[in-house]
Amino acid sequence: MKSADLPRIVVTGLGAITTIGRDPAAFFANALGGVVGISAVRGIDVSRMNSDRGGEVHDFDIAEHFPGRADLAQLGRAKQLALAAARQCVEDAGFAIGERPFDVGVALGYTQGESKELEFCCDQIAAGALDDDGLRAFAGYAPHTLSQAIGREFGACGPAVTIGNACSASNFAIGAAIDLMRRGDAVAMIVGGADAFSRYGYAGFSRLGAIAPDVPRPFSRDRQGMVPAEGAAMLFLETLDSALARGATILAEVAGYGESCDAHHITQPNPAGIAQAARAALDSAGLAPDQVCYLSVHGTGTQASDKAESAAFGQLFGERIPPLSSVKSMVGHAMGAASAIECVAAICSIQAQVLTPTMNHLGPDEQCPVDCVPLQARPAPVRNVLKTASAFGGNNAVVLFRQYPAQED
Amino acid sequence: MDAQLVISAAAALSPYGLGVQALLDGLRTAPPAFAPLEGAYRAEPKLARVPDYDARELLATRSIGNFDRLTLHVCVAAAQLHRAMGLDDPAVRREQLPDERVSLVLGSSGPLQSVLAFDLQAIDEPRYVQPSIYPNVVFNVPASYAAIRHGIRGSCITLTDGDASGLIAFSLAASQLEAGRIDLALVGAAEEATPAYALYRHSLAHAAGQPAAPLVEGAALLALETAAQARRHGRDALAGVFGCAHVQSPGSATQGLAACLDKLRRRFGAMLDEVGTVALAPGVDADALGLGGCRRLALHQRLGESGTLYGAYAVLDLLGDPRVAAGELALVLHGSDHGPCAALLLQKHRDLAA
Repeated sequence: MKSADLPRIVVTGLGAITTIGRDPAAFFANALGGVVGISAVRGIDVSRMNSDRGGEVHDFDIAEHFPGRADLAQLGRAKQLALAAARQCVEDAGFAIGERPFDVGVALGYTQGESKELEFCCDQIAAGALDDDGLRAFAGYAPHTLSQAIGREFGACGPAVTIGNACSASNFAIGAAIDLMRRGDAVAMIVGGADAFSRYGYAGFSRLGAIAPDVPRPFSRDRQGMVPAEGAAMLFLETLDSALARGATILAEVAGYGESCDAHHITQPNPAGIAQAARAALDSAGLAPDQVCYLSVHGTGTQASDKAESAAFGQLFGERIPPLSSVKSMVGHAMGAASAIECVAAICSIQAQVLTPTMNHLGPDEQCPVDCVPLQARPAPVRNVLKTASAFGGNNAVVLFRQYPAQED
Repeated sequence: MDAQLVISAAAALSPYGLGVQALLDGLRTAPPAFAPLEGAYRAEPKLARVPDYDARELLATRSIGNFDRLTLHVCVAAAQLHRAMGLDDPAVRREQLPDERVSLVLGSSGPLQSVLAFDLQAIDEPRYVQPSIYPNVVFNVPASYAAIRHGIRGSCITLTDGDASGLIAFSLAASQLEAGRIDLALVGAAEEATPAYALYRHSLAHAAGQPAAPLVEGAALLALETAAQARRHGRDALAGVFGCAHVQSPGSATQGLAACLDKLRRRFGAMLDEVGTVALAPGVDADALGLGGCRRLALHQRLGESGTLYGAYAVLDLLGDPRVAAGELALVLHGSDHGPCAALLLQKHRDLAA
């Protein structure tokens, strides 16, 4: 099918549970205000680790999102975060899923799956006391139980895709959803990512020396690392025809998508792979680099990742790199949820015509010659936004959001 | 109507040994040897392991110290597939296919042993967990190691949608090809015979109130590309792939699979009425789906449970079955009552064993 004949895909609903806001409006307002949600870790015992900073969603209570649903309290934390974000997204979209259940699917990205269930099981194994509760927990650890829980809760029985591509997984999920809708396998998809704070994940990053001692400072001089976090975010994607037919509010168009694998190193990012995915996203939308006005980037705050991203943008844009923001400077790195959370911020930026700041900036770093919108939100025309994401294994996925309807400058 | 996408080569590791032929020969002779797994947390399920192999020899490298069992299986399958296509020389492959035009889409239950072992380390000595094996906890890392080894730069994805993942992988890989993002997809699945994977399967069976069925490990990768490209490079297609439809079942596998068939029918019309063979996963009722007149292949009755490997192994099984004639249409079905269901429609072109 020629690209001109392909169904156009739009965003008609958003949901977000983050450390700086438990719905999209609160999250974006706090992001514009530069609120930093990093604090001392409470959810796991870090007393025998080398780090203690984290981006936990404190005081999250599933009952606030599903009044009267005591059954959901039994679910693992990743599922609770995912369901809460999905509910916001589905209600925001107002799509009558029950009228065509097999035409609405779920695509979800993750890094760790239902990590709390795994940890419960491992605690029992370590204590030599694995029992039926541990077995139930291990069965619930399987990542597809997250997308299954969303599908079951909202009656979305269409195609389900659960992608384990770690920190870029929810961008990959968006790509899969676009493909499914363009092929006619779904009219709409609940798409996003979720991850709960994880003991083994935190221990690993801490041992690698990747965790900042205070806050993440993406693209800043003297940056000292990332900060693991948790959260969930969901986008309701549907075909433009469907959205127009039911008079839905269209928040943005998903105009392009690109993906790549560095095939370079299991942990070290490669600028060429990042640039390749971004270029593919632009090509799929028929846009030139100079038509991009804003980048919502991976921006972890580690030396290697920020440097590689900056180099990739140099390859793609030359000396005219658009302004870019790192949402992780405020919410931390929410793993499989990260790029979905950042997609929500990017779409809100299109709506509000303002760029979110990159916080904790101490000053420019010559290895990162970029305008990262330091410390203060900035009003700006926001038309075409590239949302980039990368992950262990060198797996990059880039989504291009376009203002709808597109305004001329 | 000819399929625009074809399977042009295949590779497999199974309890019958290395190679597709070993799998096909094994399936026609005797069930694999199931045995309790050393270090298992529960007596069931019994597992049939891939016979020990010399990974350094097969992968022609010493740099596998950090590879877990799942990663080894995926890398060996990827190496075998490149060899089967005559593309094991990177320069030759690049001449045919730029690195950026090749992807790997894998279904798997994931590197469960690496995750479980790492969390146990985090309980015991959190300050001294092994950094060199930390990446192995990421579900897409086994496939990513294979991508690094073979310069697969188009995309690398690991799907974890239960036992239907190996079929859903065809859906995603076909999308990548149809969208024009890549020219060749390595598509398939992998599972590891480890205490963690055995515990996972035991846990699933326990949750369902059933005994854990005997289980196999292995890997399988198939080359999916456009028919035109296969012809151009002299690769004689094994099968045409029309499409894969998948849904989440609302309560019964039959209902979910009926929805899958409806989706395929919308795309391929009356072709569905011409299906001659149907490969059935456990619990799938061909009669209830209106497929009662088809030849039935029940891989699990000969092989045992194969997890996410089911899709790729079932495709190989029907391609290797001489009763399924060249030109015959076939469906590979996987269903579950409350989870992913998938249906792959393909057309056999020639016997795999020929």
